Formats: sequence, C-alpha cells, structure tokens
Amino acid sequence: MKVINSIFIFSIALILTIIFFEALLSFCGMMIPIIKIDSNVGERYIPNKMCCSISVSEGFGLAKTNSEGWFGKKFVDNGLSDISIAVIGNSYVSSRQVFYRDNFLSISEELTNKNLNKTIASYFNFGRQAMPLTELLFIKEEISSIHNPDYILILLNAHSFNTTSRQVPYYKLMGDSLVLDSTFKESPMLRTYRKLQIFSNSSVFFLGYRVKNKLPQLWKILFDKFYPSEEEPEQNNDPIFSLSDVNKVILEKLESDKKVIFLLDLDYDVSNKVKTITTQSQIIDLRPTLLKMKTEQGIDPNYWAIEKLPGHWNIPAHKVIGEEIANNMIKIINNNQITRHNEGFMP
Amino acid sequence: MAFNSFIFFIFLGLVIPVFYAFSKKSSKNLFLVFASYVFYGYWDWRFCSLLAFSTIVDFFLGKLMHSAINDKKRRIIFIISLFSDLGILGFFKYFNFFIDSFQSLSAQFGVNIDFLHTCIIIPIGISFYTFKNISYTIEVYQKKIPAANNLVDYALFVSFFPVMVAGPIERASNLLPQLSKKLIPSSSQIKEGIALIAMGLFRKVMIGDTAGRYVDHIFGDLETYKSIEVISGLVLFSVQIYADFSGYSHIARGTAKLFGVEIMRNFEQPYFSRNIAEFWKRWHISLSSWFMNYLFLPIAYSISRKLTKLRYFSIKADYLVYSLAVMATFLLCGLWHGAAWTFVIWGGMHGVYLVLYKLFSKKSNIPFKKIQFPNIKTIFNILTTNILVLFTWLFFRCTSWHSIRLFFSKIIYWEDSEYALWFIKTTATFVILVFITDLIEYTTGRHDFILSIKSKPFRYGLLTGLFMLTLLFMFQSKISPFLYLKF
Repeated sequence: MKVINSIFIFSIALILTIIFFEALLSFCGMMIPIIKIDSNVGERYIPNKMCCSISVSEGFGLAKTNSEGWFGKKFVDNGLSDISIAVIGNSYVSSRQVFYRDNFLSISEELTNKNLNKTIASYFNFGRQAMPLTELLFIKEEISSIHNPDYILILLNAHSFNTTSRQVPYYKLMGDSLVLDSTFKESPMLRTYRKLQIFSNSSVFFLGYRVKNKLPQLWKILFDKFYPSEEEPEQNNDPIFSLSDVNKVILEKLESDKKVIFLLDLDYDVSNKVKTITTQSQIIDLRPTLLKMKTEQGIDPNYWAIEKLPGHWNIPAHKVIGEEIANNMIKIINNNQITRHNEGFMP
Repeated sequence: MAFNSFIFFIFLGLVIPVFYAFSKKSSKNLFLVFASYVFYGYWDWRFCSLLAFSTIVDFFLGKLMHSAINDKKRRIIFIISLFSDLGILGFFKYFNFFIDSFQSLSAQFGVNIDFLHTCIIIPIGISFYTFKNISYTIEVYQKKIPAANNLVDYALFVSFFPVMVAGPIERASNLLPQLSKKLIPSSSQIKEGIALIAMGLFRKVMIGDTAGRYVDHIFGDLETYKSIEVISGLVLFSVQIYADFSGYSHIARGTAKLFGVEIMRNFEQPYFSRNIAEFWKRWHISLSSWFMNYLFLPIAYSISRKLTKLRYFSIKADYLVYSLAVMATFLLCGLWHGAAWTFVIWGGMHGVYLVLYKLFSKKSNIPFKKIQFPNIKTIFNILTTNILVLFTWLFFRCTSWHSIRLFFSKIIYWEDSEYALWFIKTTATFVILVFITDLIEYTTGRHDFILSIKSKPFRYGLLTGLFMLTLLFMFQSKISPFLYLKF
C-alpha cells in the first residue's frame, strides 16, 4: 500500500511539473504549436493565434493568424475599386522568421498604396510552410473559388518542387490529367491526430514532437565532438534541376489563369525552367534584385547573422523584395487599368 | 565542455564511478586532475598547456615564498608570481584591446600601429583560474595559509573542473584544505548535488537560454525593433544574465558536492537588494569578495597612508579614500569582465552608485539582515535598485557605442509597437518566474529548495520531471554557451 501511495504521489508531482512546463513554454512564447489538421483540407495554421517562432526558425518572428488560419489580415473584398492580391507559396511567403510588419507583403502593400491613385491595393498572405506545387494548385483553386482575388502571386523556388510530406490533399498525374489525391483522410497520422486532438494546442506535446523529429540525430547530439563525422556526399556544383511531369502540367494549368503572376526566387535553374514553360505569364523575377543586394551591399539574402545560419530570406531581403514586388505591381495595375479604360471597361 | 551539453553528463557519468572506485586520496586527486584537463581540453587542447604552466609556476613560487628567510626575498617572489599571472592574463585577454585603443588614438596623429595587432585566442576561463592563482599567492604571501606541499593537490585546486571555467572563484583557504583530505561525499551531499544540478540546469536552459534568444535577436538588430521591444530586451537580458550565471553556479556547486567538495554560494537573490551596496553582497559573491579583499582594501589602505589631513576640499578623508578605492576597484572590475570600454563604463557606473550611496546613506555598515516583506519602503528601495542596475546592464550588453546610442534614440523617439502586449506578457513571465524561484530560495534559505519538501515521492517526482523536461528541451534546441565563459 505504501509503495502504491508513493507511486501515486510521485505521479502527481510529475504531472504538476508537466503543467508547470506547459504554462512556462506557452507564456514565454517558446513552444507554440500552430498547425492543426482539418479533415477536409489537411494541415492549416490554427486560426486567431499569435505565433512566435523564435525556437523553430533562424529568425525571431511574430505574427497572428487570421480567422481563416492564414497569417496577416483576413481576405476582405472591398469592392471593385480596390485591388486584392493573393500571394501563395511556401514558408518563404508565410515568413515566420520576421515580424509581420517586416514581411515583404507588408512592405509591398505600403509602397504600392503610396504610388497608386484612388485605388487601394491589399496583399493577402496565403503562405504555409512546405507547400509544394502539387498542393499549391489545390490552395490556389480554393482561394480563387472562395475569394476570387484580382491577382494571384505564386512564389516558386527549389522547395516548391519537392514532393509533399504533409497531411494535405495534393494533385497527381493520372494519364494526362490531374487528379486530386485526398488519401491523407485515411492516413494513420490523421487517426492518431484525432485521438490526441485534445493536446494539439499543448506546448509540451509540441516539445515532444520536436524531440521526436530530432531523434535521428540522437548520437550526434549526445556525443558531440566524439561522434565520428560523416563523410559529406560529393557536392555537385551545378545540380541540374529537372521538372517532373506533374509539376509541368500544374505550371501550364496555372499559366492558363490570367490572374496568375509568378514570383521567382534566387534559384537559377528553377527560374529558367519555369520561364521556358510559362512563356505567356507575367513574371516578377526576384533574382536580379537579390543578386544585386548580395554584390552591392554584401548582404546574403539567406544568411542570418545572429544565428550564423543560412535559411529563409532575412530582413534586408524582405525589404528589397517588398520594393521589387511593389514596383512591378504598380506597373501591372496601372497597365491593366489603362487597358481596361481603352477597352471601354468601366468598373 | 559546457555544463548544458549532453557530453558533460556522459563525462560525469564516467568520471563519478571511477572516482568512487579509487580508495587512496592521491589516486582520487590525480584522477580528478586528469578528468579536469580532459574537461578543459575538450574546448581546445592547447589551453591545457597554459593552465599547466601557470599551475606549476605558482606552485613552485608559493613554496619558495613560504620558505624564504627574509621579507624582501618573499616580496620579490610575490611580485614575480603576480607578474607571471597578470602577464598571462594581460597578454591573452587585453593585448589586442590596448593595441586597438592606442591604434585609434595614434591614428589621430597619423601613426599606424596596426601591425601590432595579433590574432590571439582567449583561453576559456583564464580570468577565473588566474584569479584563483592570485588569491593563493596573496594568501601565502600574507601568511594566511601555508604553501601547498603537494603538486597534485594544488593542480586540482586550480583545475577542479566544476569551478574552473566560470567560478565561483574559490579561495585557497577554503578549497585546498578540502582537497588535501580524502574526498568522500556524504549521502546528503549527493542528494543536494543532484538537486542543485537539476535546478541549475532548469535555470540555465529554461530561463536563461530562452530569455537569451530574445535578447540576442533584439540586441543583434536594434534598428528593427520598436521602443517597448528594446526595453523588453533589456529587462530580459537582466533575467538572462542572472539565470545563466546563477544556474551555472548551482550546477558547479552541485557537481562539486558529488565529489565531496563544498563550494561557496555565488548568488543570494541579488534582485532583492535594497541598495547597490547590498546588490554587490548578493551578486557574484566570489568575485565581489575577491575584489574587496585583494583590490579595494589594499588600494584604500595605500591611499589612506598617504593622506595626512582630516579633510580635503571640505571632503572627509575617509570618504575620499572610500570613493577613490571604490572607483578604482569597479573600473578594474568592469575591465575584468571584458576587454571593451563599455564594460569599463559599466563598472564605473556601479562605482559612482556606490560612492553616491555612501554619501547619502546614514549607516556605515549595511546589515545583511532579512528583508521585510511586504513593506512599501522596502519594495520602493528594491525597485529603485533594480532600475539602477538595469540601466547599467545596457552598457554590459551593448557591444558598441552605436548600439547604445540607438537604444537611447529608441527611447527618446518613442515608436509604438503592435506587439506591445505580447512583449509585456512574455517579459513579465520571465520576471515572475525569477521572482518566485528567488522568493522560495530566500524563504527556505536553500538553493536546492525542492529538497525541503517533506514528502519524498513528491520531492523526487518534481526533481525527475524538472530534470527530464529540461533535458528534452535541451535536446531539441541549440546549446547556448554560458555568458561568463567568455570572461
């Protein structure tokens, strides 16, 4: 009886410590889970949540999700006189490494509106980490059908062509046509998630999840310098980027939508391949701007000096990207307004 | 190796059983010296040669000093020993600092001495073990302790790994007698040791490192942040430096206890201080008492011998002596912390605070009595002291004049932040956490206060949870070095 009593008291103390850690981790903003899995649309950000990304990214980012589970302001159609620009893409769009005010979309919006007459342009962030093109098309179709924005900016970089590893619906090729794969709905991961859904907001659970993801590096972390260094695979200095058939078809499909404007990142091969396929689309190529920043200012757009790590775009990169997008969008919007006016289109 | 790394715990797990397996005092000590050199050499094996050199020099000079027949000879040996210790410290830590300072001065006259700048790696913990060596030399010179007879015991005094790289700066009079006996830890020492390690690790990893991540980002790019955010950064830095260093000291004391060695307490809830003099009795106690004994008192003594009048410029001679000695001590204390003028200013500000406090304080001796809670006057005094200390941390944290100017401009030209509430909430969480842990430490009088819980299963449940969750957090995050390692 005494042993059972001791075990009981020991467990109570353990649980109290876990509760204490839960409060500590969430109040100090260190471990805040922000992903939920929706039965229909898969992984999304939890709506109306203030997200601090200091322990999960190379920068220090603060941003709040809106009621639809995207960062930044909620999509609002302010009528025909206003311009809505939806920006879709992976973690480079959601940009959890910087404060939302320093995100390239906030900068673009401010600059665009400074230079536009009468109309107000609003940029809406539809970025989410690890969103490959196969999933991006699904998100794009969802946004087009629900919100019907005036322009859709699609960011593409090397990561956009990875295969999906997430619990999301995605497009695959069957024969010559694209088919939506929603098998995630029956995945064991989703079943486990449903069982443990009550803990989906728990910081301690999130900590456990991050520990689980780091387990492959267990021996390296434990033995540090004594861990035999792995031979680095021979690096190919000029990796040839190849586009899969499904991605090619998706790009062609996106190109057919005249609202779509492609945003191309630094990756030379990716930009070239995309340009050869999407010859009819409008493209904002960020590469020259980012290279200029690198050569003229000596700032690597992907280097984080504080953490001494390469990663997503840093704050100076967001600034120049925001300016570049704003300059391009002002031209595009003005051109379209003139064209519409010449064609006798009156909003 | 850092205390907050897994390799340290593996190292500890290997060293402890081997140490317990040895039965002879000499083998135990020799093995601990070996383990300490492995611990130190893990950073860079080249550092070990410098450590061994200064150990051997001070050991033999100490013996010579002890056996010297006349005072003149003793004095010469004492000066040689001091010169050797300070020479090593000065060269490795301050050579480039002074060269750079002269460089900027000589550049005004068109003279370039940049060629003198050399690439010197500062050995980790050099200030700490050098100060330990100096304290030994002074105490032997003053005949307070006899010179160490056994090189292994002395080498262990200098290199004992729990306290080698970041203190507490143990005095030879406390540590050497312990090391000259056979080290056998008692069961209560083992319990206390484990509790101190768990609680120190929690302080360091969960409070210090987490607050530190915000601090690094905010102070790393001050321009990006708004007024309230940079103020939060400063408050968080005061939390970080305290949690980091007191956490380190807890782990150091806890580890030493596992080998049967008792180390002095280094922190006693410094942010509960009611005045600046009390702050220095509670903050980094081993360093402040070192400066008191080996710098302040000798300086004060030598100045007072030269003053013959009772008043100078209508200032009491006593007060003048105190002020000059305090200022000299704290300017050097600042320089000890880092080879940069910002640290010198930090020390100078504390010196000015103390001089002013002495001027307005009615009591000549500040009693280290129990603080009365809650008492409006006490709370006011504590808050005022904390604000004054907080202000000095700015100079401690900023690495350049540009950052300091930027910080002030952020305060003067106030910019509202859309994240103000978030910053206030987050900063308050850290402050409250430190306040609560300190309050419990204060009321129980123990750094290992979990052990004061009567129910054993409850006590061990808390300790297990605390230790396991901290290790899990440590596993998935980047290891942050202890702030004081670089000093």
